[in-house]
Amino acid sequence: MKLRRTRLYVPGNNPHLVENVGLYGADCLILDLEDSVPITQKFDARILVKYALQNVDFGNSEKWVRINSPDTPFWVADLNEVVPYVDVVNVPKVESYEDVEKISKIMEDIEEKHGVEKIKIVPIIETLKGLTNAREIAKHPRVVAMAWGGEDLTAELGIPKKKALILDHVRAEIVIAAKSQGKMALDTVYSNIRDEKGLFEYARRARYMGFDGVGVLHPNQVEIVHRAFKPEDKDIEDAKKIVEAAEKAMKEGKGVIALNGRMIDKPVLERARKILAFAEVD
Amino acid sequence: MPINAVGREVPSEINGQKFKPFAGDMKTPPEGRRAGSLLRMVPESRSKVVSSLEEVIKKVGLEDGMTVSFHHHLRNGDYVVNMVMETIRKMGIKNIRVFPTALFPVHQPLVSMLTDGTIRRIEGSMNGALGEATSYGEMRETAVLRSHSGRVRAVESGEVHIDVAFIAAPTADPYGNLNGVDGPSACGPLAYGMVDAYHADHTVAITDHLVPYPAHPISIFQHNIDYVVPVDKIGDPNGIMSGTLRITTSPSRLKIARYALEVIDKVALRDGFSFQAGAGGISLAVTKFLGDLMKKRGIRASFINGGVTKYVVDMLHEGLVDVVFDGQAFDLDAVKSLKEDKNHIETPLAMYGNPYSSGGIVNMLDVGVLGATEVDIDFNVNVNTHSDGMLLHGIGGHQEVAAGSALTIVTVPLYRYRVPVIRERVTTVTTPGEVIDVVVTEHGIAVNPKRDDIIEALRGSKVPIYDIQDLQKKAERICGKPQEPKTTDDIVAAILWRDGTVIDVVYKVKK
Repeated sequence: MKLRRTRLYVPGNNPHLVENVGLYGADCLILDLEDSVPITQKFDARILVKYALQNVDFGNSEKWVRINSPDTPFWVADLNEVVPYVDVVNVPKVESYEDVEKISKIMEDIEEKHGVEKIKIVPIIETLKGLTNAREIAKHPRVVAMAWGGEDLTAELGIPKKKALILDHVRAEIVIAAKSQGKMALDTVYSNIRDEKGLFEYARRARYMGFDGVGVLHPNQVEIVHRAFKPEDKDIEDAKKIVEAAEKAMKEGKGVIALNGRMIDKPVLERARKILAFAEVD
Repeated sequence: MPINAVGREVPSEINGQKFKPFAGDMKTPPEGRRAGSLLRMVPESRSKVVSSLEEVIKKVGLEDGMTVSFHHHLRNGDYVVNMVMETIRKMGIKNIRVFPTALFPVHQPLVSMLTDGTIRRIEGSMNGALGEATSYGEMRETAVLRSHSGRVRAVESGEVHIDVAFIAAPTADPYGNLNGVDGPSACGPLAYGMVDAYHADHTVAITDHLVPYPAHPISIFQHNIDYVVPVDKIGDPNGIMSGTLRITTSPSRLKIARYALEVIDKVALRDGFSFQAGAGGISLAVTKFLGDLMKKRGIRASFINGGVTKYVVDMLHEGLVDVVFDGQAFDLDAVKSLKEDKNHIETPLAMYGNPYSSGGIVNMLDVGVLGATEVDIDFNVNVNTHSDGMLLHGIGGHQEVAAGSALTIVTVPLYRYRVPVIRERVTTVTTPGEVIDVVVTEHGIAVNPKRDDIIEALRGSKVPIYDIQDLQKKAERICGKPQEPKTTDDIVAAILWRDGTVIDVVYKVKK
C-alpha cells in the first residue's frame, strides 16, 4: 500500500532547497509552482522543477508538482513541462468534476506525446463550490486522493481561519467524499514549524478523523507526523494475527477466516492490512 | 623529502629543527625526559603586582628571538595577545616566536607584525586573518600547528621552550593564584594555560579582576606565577562566551545528527559509557539527542569530556552523567556549573590526550564525535585547510579524540557550497584514516572496512551504509570533480601529529 502520510512542500524556485529533497523520508514531495513562487518567477521555477524531476534523487518519495490553479494563465504551461516526469499532479482550487476532466484531457495529450503512463491527480478543495462538488470530483478515475485548504474558504465566509468552527465540517466532508470512492483523504498543513507538540497532536487528530496524511512545510516535521500516524503497538499485534490468519486460510484453501473462534470479515482484514502499512510492517 | 605513513612528502627539518615523518599512531616511541623551567626565587615581598606590561617585559628580560606563549580561553573576545604583542613591538623587540594555543580573527593586528619583523613565526592554531596571511607566505619562517595534546607534549619534551608565558586571568590575587570562573571576563577553566605556567622560564598573569589574597577557587597556583599585571579589561565578554549556543535547525545537519545518534546507539550506548562533546551545530544536536535517548532508556554515562555547553551541564544536573571533564567552557551555564558543582571538574590539558604521558582522558572515551572540512576515501580527515588550500583552522583536540575514542565518528555534509567534502584525496591530512571509524553524512554513512564489528553492529539499522568511494562519487555527481588548489612548492606550515611527527604540510597559495 502506498502511504501518503506526509507531503512535503518545496518551493519550486529555490534550487538550494530542491537538491536535497530526497533525504527527508517524506512519503510525497511536492515541488511547488503555485503559492511559494512569485508571479515574476513562474517561468524560471517551471524549468528548474522540470530538471529537478529528471535529475534530483527523490529517494523513495512520490514525485508531485503543485501546478498553478485552472483560473490562472500558467497551468497549461506547467503541465507541459512537468507531466512527463511526475507521479502526481496536485491541482489547487478545483471546483468541479469538469475542472479535473479539463486538466486530464491536456495531460492525456502530453502523456501520449512522451509515451508515459497515466499520471495521477490530487485536487485541492479550497472553495465552497469545490466543497459542494467534492463527492463528484472524487469520482474522477485519475483522482487518487482529496486534499483541501482553508484560506480561500474562510475568506469567502468572512471569518478568521484560526477561529473557523466550520473547518471541522469541511474536514469531515473531504474524508467522506474521498473514502466513499475508495480514495485517500489528505489534511492540510500545520503551519507553526517550531511547535513539535502541536504538530503531533494535529496529526493524531487528523488520523482519527480518517485522514491518511497531512501536508508538511519543513523537513523536520516529517518524522513527527510519521510518529503520529503510527498505530498503537497492541493494534499492530492484533493486525499481524488477523493478516497471518487470512494468509493461512488462503494457503489452506478455506473461504472463511477465523481467529480465536471469531470470524474475520473483509473490512476487518482491510483495516488490519492498513494498520500494518502505517506501522511499516511488511 | 621522505614520504610518511599517509603518503605525504614531508620535510625532515623545519625552522632548523629535526622532525620525523608520521609513522602511524603510537608508532614513534618517546625519548628523553620531561623538560623543566628555570629555577627562580622571588623577592621577599607580599605582592607580585607590576603596574604595566612594559615594566614586566623589562623585568622578565624578554629579548630578540625569544618565545612567548598565550592561551585562548578568551577566544575571539581576547584583548591580551594584542596588548602584549603591541607592547613588544613598541619596545622594539624583534624576531619573536609566538606560541599560542590558538589565535582568532580578533588577533588580526598581528598580521602587520609578521612583516615588520616583530614576529618571525607563529606555532599554534590560526583561525582567520593570520591563517590567510600565512597561506600567502607572509610569515618569515614556517608555521607549526599542533593539536592541544601535541602542544603539551612539545612543551613537556622540550621541543618548544617557552621563555615567557603571558596568562590571561579572569581572576587573580596579588600573589598569583588564578581562576577563570569569576570576574567580568570569566571564561571557565584555565586548562590551556596550565602547561605554560608550569614549564615557562617566566610567567606573567594579566588580569582585570584583582582580588585580595587568596583568590579561590584556584586553577593555577601562586608558585608558578612570577608577576601579576592588572589592566582595565582582558577581553570582551561577548567574544569570550558564545551566548546560548543553538542546535542547528538545518534539516540536513539534523539528519546527520540523527544518523550519528543511531550509530552510537547501535555500537556504544550502554550504562557507564563516555563521550566527547563539542560546540558545533551538529555536535550540539548529537549531545541533545543522546541525552534524550539516555533519559528514555534509563542510561547513565560515566563521564563527558568537553567542550562544555549548557546541553552537557543539563545532562550533569539531570543525573544522566556522573562527571564532566572540562577543558573549555562555551557558555555561562558551563562557567557557573564549573564553579558550583564538584562533579564538574577542570582538567589540565596535560591530562587530555598527550601520547607521551601515563595516559589521557581520551584513552577512556567510548565515543568521539568530530567535524571536518574534508574527508577522503582512505578516511583521512582535514580540519586545517579549505579546498582552495587556505589555512583557516586549528587542529584543536581532533587528533587525540580520534586516536583515543573506541568509536570515532566524523560528521560532515556530503558537500558545502557545491564543493565536495568527501573526496578522493584531502587537501591536508590532519588526522589519519587509521583512527577514524565512521563517516556520517546526510546521505548515509561509511564505515572504515577495518571495523567489521561496527558493520556487524549496524546490521538491520535504518541508516543507509555505503562504501566511502560511493559517497565520494555521489558528491562528485552533484558537484563535479573538485579543482586542485592553486599553490606553489613553498611550504608555509607544518601539521604535526600529536606525537610530534610530521603528518602533512601546507603550501603557499597563489594570490
